[in-house]
Amino acid sequence: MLEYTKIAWEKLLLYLGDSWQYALFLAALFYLLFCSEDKKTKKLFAGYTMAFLVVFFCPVTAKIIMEFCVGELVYWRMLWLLPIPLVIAFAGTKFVMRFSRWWKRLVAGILVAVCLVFSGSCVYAPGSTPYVKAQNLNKLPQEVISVCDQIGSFAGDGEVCVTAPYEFNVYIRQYDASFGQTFGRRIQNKVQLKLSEELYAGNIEEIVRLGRRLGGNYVIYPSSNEQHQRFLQEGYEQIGNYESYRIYHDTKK
Amino acid sequence: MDSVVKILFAVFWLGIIPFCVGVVLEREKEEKESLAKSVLFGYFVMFALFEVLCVPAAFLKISFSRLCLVYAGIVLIWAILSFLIKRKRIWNCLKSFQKGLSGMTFLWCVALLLIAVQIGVYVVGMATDADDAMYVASATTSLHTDGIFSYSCYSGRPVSVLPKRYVLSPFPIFLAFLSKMTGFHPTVMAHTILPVFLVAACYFVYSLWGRKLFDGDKKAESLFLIFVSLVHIFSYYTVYTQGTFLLIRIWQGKAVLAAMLLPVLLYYGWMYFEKEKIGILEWLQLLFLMTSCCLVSSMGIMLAPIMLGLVAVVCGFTRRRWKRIGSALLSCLPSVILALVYLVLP
Repeated sequence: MLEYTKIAWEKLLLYLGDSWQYALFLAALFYLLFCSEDKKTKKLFAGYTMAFLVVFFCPVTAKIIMEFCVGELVYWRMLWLLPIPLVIAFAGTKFVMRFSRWWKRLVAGILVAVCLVFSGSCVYAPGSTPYVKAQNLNKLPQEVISVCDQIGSFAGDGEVCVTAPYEFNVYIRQYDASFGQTFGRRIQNKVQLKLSEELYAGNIEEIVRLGRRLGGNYVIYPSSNEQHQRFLQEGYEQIGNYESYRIYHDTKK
Repeated sequence: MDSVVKILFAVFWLGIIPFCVGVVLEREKEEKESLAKSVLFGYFVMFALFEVLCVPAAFLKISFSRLCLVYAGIVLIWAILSFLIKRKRIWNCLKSFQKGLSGMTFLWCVALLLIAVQIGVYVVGMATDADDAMYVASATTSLHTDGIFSYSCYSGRPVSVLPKRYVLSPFPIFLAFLSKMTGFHPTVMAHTILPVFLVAACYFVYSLWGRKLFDGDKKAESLFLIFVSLVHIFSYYTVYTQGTFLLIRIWQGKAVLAAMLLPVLLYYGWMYFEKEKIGILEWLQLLFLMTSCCLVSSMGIMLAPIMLGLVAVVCGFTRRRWKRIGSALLSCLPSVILALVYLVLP
């Protein structure tokens, strides 16, 4: 049974990473417990956190929740139940407001802000942020929009079923749901799995064979000149391109 | 011109309608008018109604456009009736909001600036997420096929078995509904329009907390919002935190759960056990909120009752409010039913 506690501990470490925000959270809780006069909030935040930790680490409840409720893989989502931003901000504000002189409040406020800044990582920090400047209104990679537009204008009202690598197949159907895909982000059968493997291995004959088997009539692929010739030999024609990616249409379909 | 009309529709469906729908759920005599509270209640009602209509519609294979028609009709009728019944309160609410704006202090300006930055980054920036292959593609697929999860969002082929996890928490279909009502492409709705309203709604939640925790001390409330913003902005130490979900993918249901619904559930759960007197209105608020959690994510079906249970243990048992514990448990009924459906379905 203790293995569930161990898993819970691992998930906690996974969630916290190398930040110090959890230390700030604990400090905030202790501050509220020992320095705050408001019994109701003390009881809520400290009592709730204690109750949560019991449920989170107790092998029996952890087993039940992992096996029947949220699943072991995403057990870290249980930690969303901890009101970390709320408690830290509440205790920080209490700490600042205990001073009556404005300059003391200013110093205390800056101190709390500095602690917050250094305890975590900024989501907008250059180098680590997931944000880039939007390239289009849809906020999708520009290569996807460009490739889809080229296929759309070539196909007209005709049916489109695309075989594309991961960097495209995640986005294509977000942009245009009239496009089918031989496989998407979630592989659903063995043929799709095989096709995705062959796509990365660069085996053109197999890509063509399996793609046709899954009803595909377009391929997006960063083919070399040699691979390009093999696509042409298999009955494909190039209808467009985007940087290193070529767009092929199956003339035999 | 076209975009302006679409933006006006978005303001209508994500601002005006939730406000009108939610204002009717406030207890008039006890509570001060609050635009934030009304809008939040409105979202809970809209989410809950969508869950109640969409889940059966998916199993009964009712078309997406018919679902939109029925849902939009109910919400509009609710909003109009609410407007007629509560027009005085709506007026007072707007007046107090205007008064609040005119009496803004420096700290409030800093707090609003920080929130505006978080919204602004969503508007001008782009953060792609692979989970959108389901969240956003399901919405575009629904719009294209007029079905509800009847076609695979990954391949576009008809599905033989409905994806039960998604069907029970059909937030992507809600996204499709908003796209249909406003005319925005689902990607634009998800990546640009929805974050503007949802990030604001998340901070509405914290403004409720601020008002309660500091008993109307405006300085403390604004400082509290500044600190909450900073905690969120500096939460990118892992990709799992509430702050990360709030600031890079709020259009996904699980992010709405983590950043908006769970903090507000803690608030209403606490209020439910702390208030001296409660009535059917408070129970309805809780019920709508619990059902909203079911709409946004299958995680919400499980996590929301756990959170409410913990609050009941801490606040209900210690005050021996047995009846309230019973009624709070009853508000978990939608979660229980959906959990059973999930277990029973193949």
